[in-house]
Order: sequence, then structure tokens, then C-alpha cells
Amino acid sequence: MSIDVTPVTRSGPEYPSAIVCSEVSRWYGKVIALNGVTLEIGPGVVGLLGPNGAGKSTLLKLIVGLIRPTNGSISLFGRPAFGTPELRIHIGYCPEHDSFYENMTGLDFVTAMTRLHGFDAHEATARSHAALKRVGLDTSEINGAKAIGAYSKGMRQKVKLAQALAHDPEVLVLDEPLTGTDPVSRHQISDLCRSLGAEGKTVILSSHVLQEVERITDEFILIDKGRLLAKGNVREIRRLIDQHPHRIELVLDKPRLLAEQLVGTPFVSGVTITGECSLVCETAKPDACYDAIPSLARAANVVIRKMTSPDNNLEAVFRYLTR
Amino acid sequence: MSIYRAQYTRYHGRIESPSSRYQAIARAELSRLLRDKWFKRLVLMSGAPTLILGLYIYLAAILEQGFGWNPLGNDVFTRLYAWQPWFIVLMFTGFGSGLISRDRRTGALTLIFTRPVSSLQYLLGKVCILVACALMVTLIPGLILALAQFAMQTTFGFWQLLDAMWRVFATSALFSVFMSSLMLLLSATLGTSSRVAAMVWLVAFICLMMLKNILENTLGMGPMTAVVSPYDVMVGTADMCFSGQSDALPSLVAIVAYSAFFLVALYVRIQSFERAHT
Repeated sequence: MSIDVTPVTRSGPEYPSAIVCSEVSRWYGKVIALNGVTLEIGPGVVGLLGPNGAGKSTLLKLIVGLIRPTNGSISLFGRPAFGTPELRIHIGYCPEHDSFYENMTGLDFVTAMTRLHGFDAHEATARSHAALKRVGLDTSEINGAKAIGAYSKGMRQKVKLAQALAHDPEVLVLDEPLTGTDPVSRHQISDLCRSLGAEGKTVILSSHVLQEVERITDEFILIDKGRLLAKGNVREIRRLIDQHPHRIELVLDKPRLLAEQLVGTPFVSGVTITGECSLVCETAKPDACYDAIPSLARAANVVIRKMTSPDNNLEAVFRYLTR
Repeated sequence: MSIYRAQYTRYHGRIESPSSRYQAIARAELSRLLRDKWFKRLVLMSGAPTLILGLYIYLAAILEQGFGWNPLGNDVFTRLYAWQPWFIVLMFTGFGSGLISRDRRTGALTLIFTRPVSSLQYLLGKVCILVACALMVTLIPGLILALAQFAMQTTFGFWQLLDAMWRVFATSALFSVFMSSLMLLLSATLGTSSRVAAMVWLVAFICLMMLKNILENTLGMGPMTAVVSPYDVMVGTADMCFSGQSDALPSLVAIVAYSAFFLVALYVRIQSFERAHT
């Protein structure tokens, strides 16, 4: 007996969100792991960020359909993620922890996993070979007799990614794929994620390494303590929280003179002299502040050696939202 | 060459039915086992009783006499099936105890359940592989002896051969399902260590045999005591299948009842993984 594989059609930007979470909560006994999360995720790469215990892995497992939401619903392509095994052919999942048969070779392992999708031996082997090659393993490593138990951390990560890719899923759920990899592997995996997103696949990538995720995508989901903090790109998120004080650090020769000038302006909410040659200015209107600082410095005859904003990157946004 | 940059197109072919996915699980395990030299050695060793009993059949046929027992009758099968359970025990100790516990320990179970595979198919795949292993050491030797009797004995007709083969098949199937379900239940229940499952399996097998002997010999309890020992249950089943001894009937009933119980318990256990995983 056999069945037809019905491919999911994509149609560019207007393609509806592959994943829709509606008021999703998940409890483990008395501990809440995810609390009323509502979001939609469409094609492209999205980074899922949050500190340890934020609920990232729980959210990913809910999307994959490994666990059932306690409240709310998660749907993939309009169908419930949990309890719909036939939907799993459209999902590739790369778990956080190693999940291998250590005595198998990488190719055998990926082939065995691909066969579970129903491909015949020839097709599964061809796909596994191609997927392993795509994640950056070279031919000698793929065809070698070395068992996964003897693989390096980077190679193991690549095998995990390959088994998620080999059946060509529409949705890729990657739980900490960059953890423990060397810079070369990290670069390869980052490139791979970007290219998968560019192909129109929905790639969800969780990580602690904020800078690495920033290099792959500028779309983020920030969660903490099971709650959705923000969703969008860094600039949008930053704009949303711009009504809150934004810090500008200055290294200069006469901090007191510039501080006097800054305090007199309407857009500066506070100035702190942090050293003999440094001050921190807090503002709710950073653009206006950046425009005014050079003229104020000139008027006070102050030489500014360095001006930085610690709040203008993802880490700062994340720190601000989670504090 | 990467699959996408080489104009790789989505697979529009036909794929196997979801209900046959258990075969992929069984095949992966079987290919792993067949690469293990100790597994192959054990399978070869399990042929030793067949060789010895085959020699008896040959000698009895040319000498036209028995040896206190009749190698040309059903006795040869009851003797064979008194030996073969030990090979199953050894094989499962070495190669069957980790079938489920290893999947749990390594996290492969998580990956398997992210595929279109249900807990029933997973269970079926694991049972199939152990049943296939057990049949290698029970069915094949039994069939070889049946054919040897057919070849060596002029009075052993075609219908007798079919009858013997049917009994061999029934005995081997009962042994295999019983032992496989018990081993898998231990593997699924006793934590994530294969060694613990293997040790418990081996120790329980021997201790229950000793308990049966104590009950029967020291306390003078009847043949019903065979149902406490997996080994005696199997030997009793072989007696029932080949000799029709009525005092072995409890063993036959026990092997069927135990197998059904173990399989149901195993299914419930594997379903609980899906939930607990969760």
C-alpha cells in the first residue's frame, strides 16, 4: 500500500503563517513553562531568544508536536501540531541534545531517520548523502566507516542538522544548533540557515549566542519566564521601547561641562558622571540627543573622544526586556 | 553539490504507507545487529544442538535403533527446544536489552517521535526485530531437523513433514513472542541502562528456574509450578506441542497469557513515553 505525498504550496510573501500559536500555555506539574503565548511565524528565519528556563525548548517541542499544550492551540499549516503524525513529514527538528545511535555512521543514522518518512532505501540514502554534504561534511567523512561516537562536537551538530533537512521539510525547528561548534562550523551552519530562509522555508532557530543569531536574521522572538516579550526585528523592538530611557556613553575631556549643557536640554532625562573622563546620558529621544551632542560639546569647548550606545544591540534590548 | 543548488526538486514520488514504518525501525536494528561479529558468532553457536541432534538422527537411521530415546520421533524436537531457550537468553542479554532503553538514553526516541511514526509502529518494529532474532535460533534449527528426519527415514512421509514443520513453527513463534515481549518490557521499564535490563533479565531467568525447582522438589508442589519459570514455561510448551502431554497444558496457557500481558503492558509503557516526553 502506498500514499501520495501532497506538497505544501508556497506563494512568496503572502504565503500564510506556517505556524500559528494561540494563547498557548504549558505546565509541567506546578511549574509553568509557557504562559499564554500568541504568535504567528511565516517563511524566513526567526531567532528564538531567551535565558535558560525561558521556555524556548518547550515552545519548539510544542511546534514540533512532541508535546501537547495544556491550554491554547498550536497549528501548522492549519492543522493541530499535536496528534497529527502525518504533518511531521513537513517538519525537521534538530534537538538541543545529542540523539544518536552512537555505533552507527552519520550516513546510516540519517538514512535510518529519513526512511521513517517512508522513502525507499535508494531515495533515503541519496537524500541523506546530499543533506550531509549540504551541512558541510566532506565526502570522506560521509562515506567513512567512523561511527558517530567518534565524531567531534561540530560533526555531531551537522549530523543532527542533516537528519532534520534530509526529507526536505517546510518547517525547520533548530534548538541551539550553534552550541559547541567551532567558528568554521558556526559560519557554515549560519550560512545554511540563511539559505534555507531564502528558499522560503520557515526556520526557527533558538540560541543563547545573541551575536550569532543577529548575523543570521534580524527577526526575533524574545521570551522569558514563559512569556512572550517581543516579536519583530531589532529596530522595531527598539522603537517600541524607545519611550524608556536610552543610554549614551561618552568618553571626553571635561565631563562636568558637557553634563551641565545636557541637563538643560528637554530630551535628556538624566546624566551620570561615571569617571574623570566619562559620563552616561539617559534620554527618551535618542535621535534628538545624538543630533544635539556635537553642538553642545562645541559650545562647551569639550572634546568628545568616544560616543557609544550600549542599548543599541540585541543584547541590550534583551537585557532591558528581561530585567 | 548541494541538493538545492543542483536544482533539487521536491519529492513527488510515492512513499510507503505510514502503517509500514515499523519496517524501517526493524531494518535499522537488524542491519546494526548483522554488523556485530558477536551476534553472528552466537547465531552460529546456536546451531550446535542442531548438529548434534542431526547426528543422532543419522545414526539412528543407519543403525535402526534408538539411544534410550527415539531421535526419529518428536523427542528430538523436545530436546532441541530444551536447549534453544538458552541461546535466546544469551542473545537477548547481549543484544536485546538495550533496544528501548538505549533509545531513551540517547534521545533517539525524541527524534523517532518527530517522524510520522506512532507508538504502535515503534513497538511493532522493536518486537519484529527480536522475534526475527529468536526465530533464527528456534525456527531454522527446528526446520533443519524436520527435514533431516524426512531425508533419513523412509517411513517419515510428506504429511508427517508438514505436521512436524507446523509444530516447529508454532513452538518457535510462541517462544519468540514470549521472550521478545518480556525482554522489551524489561528494557522499557528498568530505566535507561541496557546493562541493568540485561542483568535483571539474566538473574530473573535463573532465579525463577531455581524457584520452580524448589517449589516442585522441596515443597512437593505439582507441575503447575512450571508457570513461575520462563524456561520451564517454554520447555512445557514444546512438550505440549510435540508430545501432547496434558500436564504441560498450564505451560501452553501460561506462555500465551504472559505474552499477551507483556505486549499490552509494553504498549501502555511506550505510550506513556510519548506522554511523559511530553
